[in-house]
Amino acid sequence: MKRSPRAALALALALLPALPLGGCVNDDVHLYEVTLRGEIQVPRGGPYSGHVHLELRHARSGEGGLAYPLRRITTIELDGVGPFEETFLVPTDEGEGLVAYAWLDRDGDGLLCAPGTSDELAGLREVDGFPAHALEVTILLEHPCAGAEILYAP
Amino acid sequence: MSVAVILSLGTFFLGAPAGPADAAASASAPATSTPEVAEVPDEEAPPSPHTRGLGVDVESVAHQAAAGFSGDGRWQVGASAGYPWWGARAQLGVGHGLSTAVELQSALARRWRPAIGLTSLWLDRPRVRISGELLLGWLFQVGELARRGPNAELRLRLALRLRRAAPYLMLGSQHTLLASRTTIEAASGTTVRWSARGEWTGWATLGVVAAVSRKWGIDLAADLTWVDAPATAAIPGAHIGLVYGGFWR
Repeated sequence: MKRSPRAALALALALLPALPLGGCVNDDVHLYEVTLRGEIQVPRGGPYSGHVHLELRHARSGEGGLAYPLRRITTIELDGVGPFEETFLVPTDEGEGLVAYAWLDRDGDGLLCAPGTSDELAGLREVDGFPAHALEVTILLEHPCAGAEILYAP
Repeated sequence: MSVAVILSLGTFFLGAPAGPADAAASASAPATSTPEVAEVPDEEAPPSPHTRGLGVDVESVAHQAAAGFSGDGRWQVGASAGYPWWGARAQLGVGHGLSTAVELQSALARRWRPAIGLTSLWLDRPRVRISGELLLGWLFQVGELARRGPNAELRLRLALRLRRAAPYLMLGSQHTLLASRTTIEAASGTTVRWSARGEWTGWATLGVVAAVSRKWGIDLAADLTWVDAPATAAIPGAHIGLVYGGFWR
């Protein structure tokens, strides 16, 4: 029986369209844009100078026994204490809720209370209303050298 | 005893008394022919009309498997198992120096790559064959490191032809396009952005296909693969396989 080589090639090529049926999207990331307005405050008479490191975190991430709090989303640096307005992209598949944590970088070293420094104030607030594109928060920096994990009680 | 075993294996692969298939070939040869001529016919000689329909030819399936190439009118199928790679392959000689292939490759049932391919025989000498192959397929990887996307592989094979064995070296360069989608939901509306990155897998296989008969062969090989190089570590492995073939026209 004589068969055409072209027929064999056509049969093989006919299988090609079936291959993409398994999908082609690898990372499917969903980001929710949030414009956060608010104010960074320090106690009356407290230190005012220095940049402020503002961190946005998920309140809860993971499920079941692997659930954990305060997954970091992003960190920005503000010129100092006072009002601010910043826009963030929040990955909605990686956690729930929003927490804003800030600390005052008195010596400008980018480190919270490196050895020899003990007056860098920190504060944390859960951001109510998420998900919404416009949110507000006020953070009072009143805890010296406190990390976010110390200040957050889930 | 071990020396006897080694000698036996050596004579099996490199030069052995005629097996059943060879015996059949010898029986059909003229009485004046030397045993060597009768047992190892010229590769270019036409197959015997008595054996052609049975897929018994001057070129064994083992030699086709080693080169990844089947001559015009020949076919073969094969399957292999090992760590971490498993595979199944069918190839069909379509003439004009070309051979088509359908292949399924898997690593521990977590990474799958079905593909179709076209093989070209670049060098065809009695003792040496060099072929090039292009495979187009789709990658599916399940588990924590799930991946999927179109895949293409270029292969280069060097196959030697001994009496009952065909040692071979295969070098492969496998490329996968991994696309990702980012959906941004803003107050002004939703936008979708696409991005892609490549995954490169380098491949080297050194092995031998032993001819059990003209139609059957056993493949033993060591694999060195580097999936998603250079971000990962290369994992060495090995596989054993079985090939079977014949004629389709």
